[in-house]
Amino acid sequence: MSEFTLEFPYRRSLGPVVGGFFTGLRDGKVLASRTKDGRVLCPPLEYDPETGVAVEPDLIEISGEGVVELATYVEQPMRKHPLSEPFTWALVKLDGADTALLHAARGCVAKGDRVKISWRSERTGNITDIECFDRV
Amino acid sequence: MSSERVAVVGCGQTHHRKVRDDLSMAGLLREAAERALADAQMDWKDVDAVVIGKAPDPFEGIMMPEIYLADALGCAGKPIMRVHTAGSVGGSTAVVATHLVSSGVRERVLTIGFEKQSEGDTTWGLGGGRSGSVGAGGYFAPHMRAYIDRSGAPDYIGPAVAVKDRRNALKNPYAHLKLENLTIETVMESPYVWEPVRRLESCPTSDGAAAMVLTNEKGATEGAAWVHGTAIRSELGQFPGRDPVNPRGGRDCAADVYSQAGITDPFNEVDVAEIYVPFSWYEPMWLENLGFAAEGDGWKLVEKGVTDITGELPINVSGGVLSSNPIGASGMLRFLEVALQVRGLAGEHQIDGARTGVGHAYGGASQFFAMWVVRNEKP
Amino acid sequence: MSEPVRFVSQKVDLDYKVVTSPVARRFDEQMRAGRITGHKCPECGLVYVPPKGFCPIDCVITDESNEVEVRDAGTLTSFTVITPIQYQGQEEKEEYVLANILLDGASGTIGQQRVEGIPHSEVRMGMRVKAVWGGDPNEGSRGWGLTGAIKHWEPSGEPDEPKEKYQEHVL
Ligand SMILES: [Zn+2]
Repeated sequence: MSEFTLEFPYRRSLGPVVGGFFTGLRDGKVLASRTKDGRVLCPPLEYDPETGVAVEPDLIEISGEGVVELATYVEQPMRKHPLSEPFTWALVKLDGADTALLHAARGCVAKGDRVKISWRSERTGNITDIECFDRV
Repeated sequence: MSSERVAVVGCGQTHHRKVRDDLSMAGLLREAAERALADAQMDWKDVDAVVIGKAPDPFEGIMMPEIYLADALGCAGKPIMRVHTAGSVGGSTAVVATHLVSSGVRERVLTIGFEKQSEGDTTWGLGGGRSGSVGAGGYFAPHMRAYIDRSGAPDYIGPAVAVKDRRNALKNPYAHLKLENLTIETVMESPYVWEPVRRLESCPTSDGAAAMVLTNEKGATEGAAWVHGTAIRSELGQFPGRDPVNPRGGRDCAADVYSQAGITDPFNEVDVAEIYVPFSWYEPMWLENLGFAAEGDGWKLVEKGVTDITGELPINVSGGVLSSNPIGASGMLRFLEVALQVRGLAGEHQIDGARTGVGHAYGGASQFFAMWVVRNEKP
Repeated sequence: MSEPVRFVSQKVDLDYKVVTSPVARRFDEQMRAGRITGHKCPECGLVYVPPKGFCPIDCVITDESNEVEVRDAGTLTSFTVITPIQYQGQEEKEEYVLANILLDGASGTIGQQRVEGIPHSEVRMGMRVKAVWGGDPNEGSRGWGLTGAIKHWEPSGEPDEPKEKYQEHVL
């Protein structure tokens, strides 16, 4: 038996859409992309998954509050989970968006609950700038 | 080969660079794919299936990128699959796409090879992590030394290939390395990295993608390239008696693809070839392995300028892997460039009157091989 | 306004527990005792070092009953001098030689072996080398496997082998 850890460092280039989204997060704002037919995608995608067509070039700001669409509760978080206390993986449809964002919500939340973003005070331009969601 | 003839109706590639920091990974594939679709006068909705290829996942650290890329490549309701055969993957991806059409299963297939090497560390990726890895060059260097020893080739042959390919790259607007005024002397003065391989005899690491649209005869347009043969071979990475200087898998792959295309004398019947040369000495080695020269004579073609852009058998007129190396795209670029040549669309590096082209890729421990033959006429 | 975010950094770390195969474990025990062993295929007679536990040519399984000992000396068939690229985490700082070595009694080479005790410019194909073992097997300080147990290889002083003896053994 041998035990080892593989480690790989990466630096990802984000492109204008995801880069814009991460810039927004750093500045404490949630930005979404819009498809040609007007659907609002958050997290923003670069291309409409229905058609393959590129989204509108400009992102729009939406709310940091929304509704839980699906949830699964994690009673015993693992080492790499975003929260060390019990939490819920939640798909959150933010107000103004047509799609849902996957993130952690503190404690136990359920489908239909309203939640809002708990921002980190130190933000770097990453999805982890959202510490988690909290029930409203 | 099969019931359906296969035409290459669209070719597109990115501007290959050290870092394409203006694009996401999906954006990189889209840049190549949209150029190929535009060339084919098609739209995303016209595509029946998508076949993509890239090198090992640790290079970018995105597990199974085909999942993330399905959305970005307009694959809702369509099949997407990913091919993997190490460095030869761009070639074998194009072969799999060809087979989807030749078998009659699909009519219009988009195929893309890509790598965004700037996202990670390729040497780490190859070695499985921290330190100890010597990279591809360290593995292949003893094989090149054995070729030099066996053939008696003079030491300037490798540098001559490096100069030729970089000169060719100056004519290719998509090429990554643009090294002006390179001479055999400057190459020979550049430091060894994996002796006998010098820095300027090695490929760069690049971000880039290559894409092609393949159709059956019904969907073919005027001026398409036609596929006359495809072949893939593989062999074990190591066993006693295996010869990495002139691997059996490569010889068999070439024999198979030539036989499908009715080629009996490759040197005289092929107008232009793009072969996978990541380190300069692989040009003479593969010239022999692919039957363009007798064993031990490959370097003589280089010495006489036969493989120059103005020579009798131009090799890697696009600048080759030595000038652009987005690994997962590198093999497909070889296939794509010869398709451009027989279509007469290669621009400044066009070989006048090219009618028959051979594309080649190799990978792993010189153990995976993929080739195709394309012509300007139907099989 | 601060600059737009264009990159994210990410470190992937993956923890593994790997069960060592019986063939590798046995090879390692023998290495710790100072013996280099291989498996001789009962069909084709080729000797694989380190043993694979099968012959990939004949598709037959090999085991301890096929074990043979080979010498800790052999012929250098090809090599490279590495100038280590200073990527993040690189521990090599100086140039070093890595060689493929055909051990006496083996049918194929062992790859990427360190060769020391000779100026790099004098390393050559056909050169005879012998193992310099590391650690003490009795203290348990000898490393794991081929590269763990053998520190490096050095010239043995025997006359070079002619080209015919090594040129078919690049690998
Ligand atoms: Zn056997």
